[in-house]
Amino acid sequence: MDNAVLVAVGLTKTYGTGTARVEALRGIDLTLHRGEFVAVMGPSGSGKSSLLHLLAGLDRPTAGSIHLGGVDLAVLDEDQRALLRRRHIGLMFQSFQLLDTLTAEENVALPLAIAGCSADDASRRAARMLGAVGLAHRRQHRPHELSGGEQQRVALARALVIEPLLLLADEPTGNLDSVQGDKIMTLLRQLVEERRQTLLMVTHDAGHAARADRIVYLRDGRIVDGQRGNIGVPSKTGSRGADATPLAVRYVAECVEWSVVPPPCSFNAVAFVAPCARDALEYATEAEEAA
Amino acid sequence: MNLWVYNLREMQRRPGRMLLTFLGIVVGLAAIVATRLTLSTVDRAYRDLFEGVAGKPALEIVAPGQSGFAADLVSGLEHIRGAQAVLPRIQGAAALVSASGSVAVPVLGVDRTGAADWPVREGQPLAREDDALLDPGLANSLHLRPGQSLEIWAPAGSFHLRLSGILQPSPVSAAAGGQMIVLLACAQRLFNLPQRINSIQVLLAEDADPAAVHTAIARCLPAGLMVQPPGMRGTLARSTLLSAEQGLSALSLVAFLAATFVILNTFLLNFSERRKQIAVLRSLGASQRQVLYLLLREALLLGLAGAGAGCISGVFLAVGLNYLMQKFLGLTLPSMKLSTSPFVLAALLGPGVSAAAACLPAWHASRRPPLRELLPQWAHREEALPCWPWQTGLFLLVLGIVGEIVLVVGGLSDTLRRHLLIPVVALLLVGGVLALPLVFLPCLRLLGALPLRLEGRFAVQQLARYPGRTSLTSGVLFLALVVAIAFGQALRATLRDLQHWYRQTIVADFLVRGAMPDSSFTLAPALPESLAEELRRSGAAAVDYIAFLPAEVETQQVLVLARTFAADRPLPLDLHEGDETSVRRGLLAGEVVLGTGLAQHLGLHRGDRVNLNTTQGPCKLRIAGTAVEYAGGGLALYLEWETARKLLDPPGVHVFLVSKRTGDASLGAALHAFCAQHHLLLQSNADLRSLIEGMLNRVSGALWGLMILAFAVASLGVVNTLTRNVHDQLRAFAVLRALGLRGGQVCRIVVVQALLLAGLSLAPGVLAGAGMAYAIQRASAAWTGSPAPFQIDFRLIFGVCGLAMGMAVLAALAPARQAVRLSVAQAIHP
Repeated sequence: MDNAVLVAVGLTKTYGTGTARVEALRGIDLTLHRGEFVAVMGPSGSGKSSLLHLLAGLDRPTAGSIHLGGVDLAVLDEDQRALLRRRHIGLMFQSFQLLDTLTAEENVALPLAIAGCSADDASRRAARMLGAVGLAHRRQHRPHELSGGEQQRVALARALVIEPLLLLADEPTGNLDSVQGDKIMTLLRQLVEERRQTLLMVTHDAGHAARADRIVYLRDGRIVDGQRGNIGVPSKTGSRGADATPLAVRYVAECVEWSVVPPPCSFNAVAFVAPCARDALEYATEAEEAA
Repeated sequence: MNLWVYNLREMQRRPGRMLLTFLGIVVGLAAIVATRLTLSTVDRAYRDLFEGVAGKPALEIVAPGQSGFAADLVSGLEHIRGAQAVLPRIQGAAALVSASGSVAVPVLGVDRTGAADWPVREGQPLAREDDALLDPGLANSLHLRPGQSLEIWAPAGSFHLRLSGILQPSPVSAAAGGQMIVLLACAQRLFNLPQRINSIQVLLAEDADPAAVHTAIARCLPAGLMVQPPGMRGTLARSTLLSAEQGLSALSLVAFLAATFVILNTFLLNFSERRKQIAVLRSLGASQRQVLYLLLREALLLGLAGAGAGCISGVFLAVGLNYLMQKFLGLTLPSMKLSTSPFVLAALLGPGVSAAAACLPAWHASRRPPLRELLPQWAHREEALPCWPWQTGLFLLVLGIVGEIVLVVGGLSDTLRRHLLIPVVALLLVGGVLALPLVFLPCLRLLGALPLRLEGRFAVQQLARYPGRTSLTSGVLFLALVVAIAFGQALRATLRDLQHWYRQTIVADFLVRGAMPDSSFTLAPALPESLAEELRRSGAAAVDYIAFLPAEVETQQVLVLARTFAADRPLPLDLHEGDETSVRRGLLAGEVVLGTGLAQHLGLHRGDRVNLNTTQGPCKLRIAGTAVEYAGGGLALYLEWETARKLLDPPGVHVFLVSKRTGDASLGAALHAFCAQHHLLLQSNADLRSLIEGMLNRVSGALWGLMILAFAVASLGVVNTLTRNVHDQLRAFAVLRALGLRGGQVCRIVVVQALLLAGLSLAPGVLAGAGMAYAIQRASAAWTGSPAPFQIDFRLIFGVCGLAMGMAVLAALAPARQAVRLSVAQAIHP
């Protein structure tokens, strides 16, 4: 536990009341260790995003506790949680959420400006972070002048510039093509390996999830697998365990099971499964070879 | 990078909207600055007119009607403790003849010892009895140089004086518009006051108690003389400006309120558009307070910039208003003094109002949970309109209505009524705007239930979806409607009443005078009464005459209209109480006719008695009747000439009213020759009417201009809202276009939204406008005394409603074009 960055216990989140009551999360227990890369997967409505929002302090749990660096987020008010985010949590969104009136560098410097950093210091650190994500030459460009992948790298730099304890990424490759998505995943992986950055990523992409140290599967607001690291315990090198391949395949199969709407829908399950399964298998094989 | 960069970039991002908000602040503040500067300039002009000619003494002693009194009274006052100097003076107005026509000039007669107090810049000081000194401004405007001869008309006749020198310029003399200084002996000749004076100036010792000196002097004075501060005589002139002052203050208040609602609406739109962005800031760790300050900072920046520009524009606007007032008053106004108070007020109001208007939207924006905005399912969901705005609106409306009832029927003093009118108008306007959703949201729901065509259904749905935005935009239109109807109706009623009044009272065919007086008759040069005989010899059927005399009734400064009433002609009065025969009989028997304003002010009616301060002391006179009178701001009374001669000793005649015999076409030419020969001012009845109507047209033109400006500001609000609505509907429009909706139909959806916005504010706007017009007319009757019955001006109402609809359609054109030109593919897949 000394190594734990985040400890969530009995997390429950309920929306609405009466007949409209929806239990998004039902007693989630989750621990993230320093330098660990955890992917959260599950079908739509399984509670992935709700979990991420609770961990980011964007929402409050109905029950349970979330300790980040020893502080319980569940008892903090809105502003205290904002302060905590300002200091310890980096956030990446699927749709980047860059401010389009600001340049790349200004976007990256924004969290520092919010934290009260001097303008010079903020700019210097933002420029350095942009260099780290390979965008030093795009510092003065506005978001609309950047490609999707570049925008997500700016978002990554913005999340990292405060040197957070925890980086939370909500489907960071969801709006990107596969090439750009791979680049982002490579960056994230490097980050975990080189800086020992703790990262929790919500994704639908099994291939990208397979690059995590651990995959947490959610269904109907519960963790159905992965809490103890079925895919393998995190290692210093971030390599996968031996059972990564079957799990990935199993996950894809589950996705199909959950995603296929009842007949007479003409959904082609095989066509859906094949590319995902192929990606997962290929990646797992490569990872094993590398190990 | 600091957060100011973020603020500035966001402000630059929507230049149109920022410009609109900025203009709203600028217009509101410019109106306030200009009004205050103009009113203070006019006020100063009248105050300095007396203080200027008197050389700023502490107290003055005068007789009612500017009549004269024995000069030896001065020696009796010199011993009074605290009086440093007691100076004999003669004050009056004369017509100075020049190549470009005669001008009315205030004249001050000073004794030889006092002449040293008037240093000359050019030429010689006063030495000979026919010497005169002139202000440099006046001398320059008339191209006069020391040594030249001056021709003037005074109560004793026509005189030739020598311009011995030009005075040193001084702020006081400049404020008076130019004055003439002569020796006391000369003034006694000019004003027909041998061995007499008409004013004593008392300078106080440094340690003197003004109240004690005042009491001591009052004790020594014979009956009929008054001791007062010199500026007191400007009170009557200033009271004539009350209506103009109220009108200007009310319009500046309205401009300011409209600006506030425009700012509020703009910030609501702005912050609503930036919800997601604000949520991102919050997710990056910005606290609620930080977001609140960040947004308020933009409002403050705009407010500060608006205050700066508003102050500058206000000065330019004040120059224009001063020019208009100068034309309206017939008085040379002093150069504008840029006192600090209007600018301090603008500097506080600009950022203050901007921040206050932004406060609520900013507070809401900062309190909104970030997650709500980051999730796509919340993206276009509008919150329901909270209850507190309409509840507050209802409360303010009730307060305003109670205030209105108190104004109309309550037994308040005039001063209190005057002070209450503007706050009551403000309460009604603000309350009306805030309570408006109570009317139009049910109307929208009703419309939504009707079997409308597709365009109508979409338009209604869109407006109902954003009740806050729709309410405020309709509110600004409502404001413009109320103002246009209320002030337009009051203005048109006053103009009609004025026309009726001067057609009734100015019945002579020709008017002869020394020079045009100012509109308050404070600066009216008098002519000798003997001129009447010469005018009769020119072939006139009748020659009546009028003198405008300042006097005091109870403690109220009033204007006495002393005139002759020809027995064989209709009584030239717009009678309100009393019939012509009894009023004429009463006037000939020494009774008075009160102006309705004065009667209302004093609470007196026909048959009551009024206490007039005369040269013999207070005198109780029976009221023969009351008549509508606009001279002296309604604070006027009529006396028959012979009664006035006994009671007030008029210095001369200010206007000769010459009537021709039926069918006599030669009188005009004869009078023209006579006046040209004697350098007198001749006006035909038609000339005077066109002069008055021109003046009224200018005033009403300026007011209509301001009202159109209010509509223009409201239209900008409509553009703002429609643009935002179009932006919100882009995806829906794109889907509809993809399903086959034509461009014209999309355009109609936007135009129908604009028409609904305007249309829904019409009924409440017309009702509130008519109600406010009634209140204004009843409340202002308290000091103008205008008893005109209240009539709904349907032409005005239809015109204003048409204007509102037209402006709304015009405002819809640009957003509609944007909607028609949208790229369907891009809108569906942004």
